[in-house]
Amino acid sequence: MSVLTKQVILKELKKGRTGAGLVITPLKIDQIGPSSVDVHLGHEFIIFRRALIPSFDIMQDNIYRNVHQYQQKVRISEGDKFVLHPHQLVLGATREYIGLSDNISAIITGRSTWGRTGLIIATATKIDPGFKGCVTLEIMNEGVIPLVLYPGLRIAQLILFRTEGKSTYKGTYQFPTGPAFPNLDKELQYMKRE
Amino acid sequence: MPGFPIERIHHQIENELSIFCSQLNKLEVETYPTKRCLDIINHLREKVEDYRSKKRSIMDQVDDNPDEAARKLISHIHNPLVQQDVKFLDWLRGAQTQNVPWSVIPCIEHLSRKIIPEHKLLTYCAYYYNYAISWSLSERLAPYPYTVLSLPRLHRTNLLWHTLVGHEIFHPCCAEFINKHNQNALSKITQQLRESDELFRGLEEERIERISGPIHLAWRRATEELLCDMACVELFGPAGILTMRAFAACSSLDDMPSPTNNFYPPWRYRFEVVWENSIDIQKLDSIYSNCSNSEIMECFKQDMESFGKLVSSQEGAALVDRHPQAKIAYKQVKNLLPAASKFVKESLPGTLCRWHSQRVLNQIPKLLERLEKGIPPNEIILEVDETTQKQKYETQSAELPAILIAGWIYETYWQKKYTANGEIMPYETMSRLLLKACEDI
Repeated sequence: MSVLTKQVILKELKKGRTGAGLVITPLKIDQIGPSSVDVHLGHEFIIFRRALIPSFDIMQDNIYRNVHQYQQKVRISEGDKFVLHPHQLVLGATREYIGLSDNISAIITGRSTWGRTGLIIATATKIDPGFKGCVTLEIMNEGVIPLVLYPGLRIAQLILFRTEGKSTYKGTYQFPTGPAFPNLDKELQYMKRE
Repeated sequence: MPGFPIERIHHQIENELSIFCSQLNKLEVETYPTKRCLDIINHLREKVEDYRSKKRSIMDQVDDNPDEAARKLISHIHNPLVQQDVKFLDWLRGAQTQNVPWSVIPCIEHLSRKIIPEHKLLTYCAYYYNYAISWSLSERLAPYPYTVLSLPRLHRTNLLWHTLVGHEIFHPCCAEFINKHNQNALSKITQQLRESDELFRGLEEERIERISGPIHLAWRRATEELLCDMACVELFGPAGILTMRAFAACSSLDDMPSPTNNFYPPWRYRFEVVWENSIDIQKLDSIYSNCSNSEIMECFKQDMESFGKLVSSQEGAALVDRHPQAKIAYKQVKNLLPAASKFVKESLPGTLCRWHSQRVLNQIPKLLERLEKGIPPNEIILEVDETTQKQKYETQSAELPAILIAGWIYETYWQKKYTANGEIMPYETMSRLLLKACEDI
């Protein structure tokens, strides 16, 4: 595995102009760094409805049937604020829609500027080859003071890798255009099979 | 004259104003895709203040004439509040981000600013299965400077269907054309009734007048609908045609205009008119020939050809010709079609990108390629240069007509090829990608 540099990223984007290879959209040249691509915070967030559910327990049959019971999607307009309180977890997504070819994988990582304020942007950071969609960010304020987030904030960076061999993502979270609700049903099926 | 003591009426109105304000406060904290709804909430608050000031001045003079004061409270405050203002509470609820296709709302507002600049548009989703627009800009009905556009809630996330906003937004433009030709059309309708050698021969003048009313209404309604159809197809071309067809899919194509259907013209007739007046076959051919995926394009071509066959028989025109009243109304409609088509083309501003512009025609195949591969058709890549010192990455935002046409082309393929085995993306995914594309234009 080797990290793609700016020149190689551009080369891959050129191959992906028909949508078949690497796609990061919308994208401006100044988002591409020497070996990473800056990505922005999108408009949608998923917040947890803490008052309505006692706990997350996938063995409880009703928990996965209606995700809206414990999570709610909100959309913040351009220029509007989203206040993230200390120790609050929300799901957000990149504004950029990403399409990886079958020999490129990626990791998404927070920018250090935000890290210094206590903002963590992802725990599941790996993106498989062949994935297409906006990347869901698990955004957490680990600091002690509330943080104000705005759609369009340069919040994370994408580091792209060339893989050894080819592989294509066929998972649950294909083609999301905003933060995706967790698929607990699949986890439950897995547990039951065990 | 009101039958209750003025105090009761006064208290009731005060209570209604308070509840109304409290509802506005609740609505204000919700999220909306643009600032339009907050403007409306502020406007309604100002109206409430205005009502309160009117109420004070009416109550100051209550001792002179209590009945007159009660009548004024009802007609100046209660009636407009419950008959007009309260409607906005539902509209605003339906306009919240979670209830509308939020990424498209800025595009719809942009379109309305270009076509009907004097109207401020509020877009919301309603339970009824139709697209509709209402406005009140006349002096008499001018409590609001807002025009309200409703989209069917069931199809909220179906961008392809929202092509029909091109039709709705043109409605307020039609009055100019209709008023210009109204008197002449009415005279000709009456004259035709007098000269008719069939059903209406020898009718008394009074009966002729009575019969001419609905015929005239059918003329007005048909003219207005056809003007809007032509505007939609002038803007969005085949996307407009395919949306009309999809919308009409569960209706009869041959329902004749009547009071029960608000004198709407038959779908088949509408299809014939837009095909003849607003589709440039050469431009359509250029779409067919520029697409790289021949299988997808073949589906689209077959679909357009089958539509061409549907309208070529002119059964819609023959249908209205067999109906004695419709025949008279639609003779006038037909006479004015060339003028109507010209009016539509001239009324749409030149700055608005239309489907037959070279820019849109160039974008369609590239956007289609993206959609086909599961990428939102939001932009096309113009140039990537990684080799030189000054590296380049240039893109061009997609135009709304290009997104819609690419979407509809893919939809025709989807209709023919979709199976549950996952080889082709589900309709819902396609809809999400199209909505995502609108975020960036």
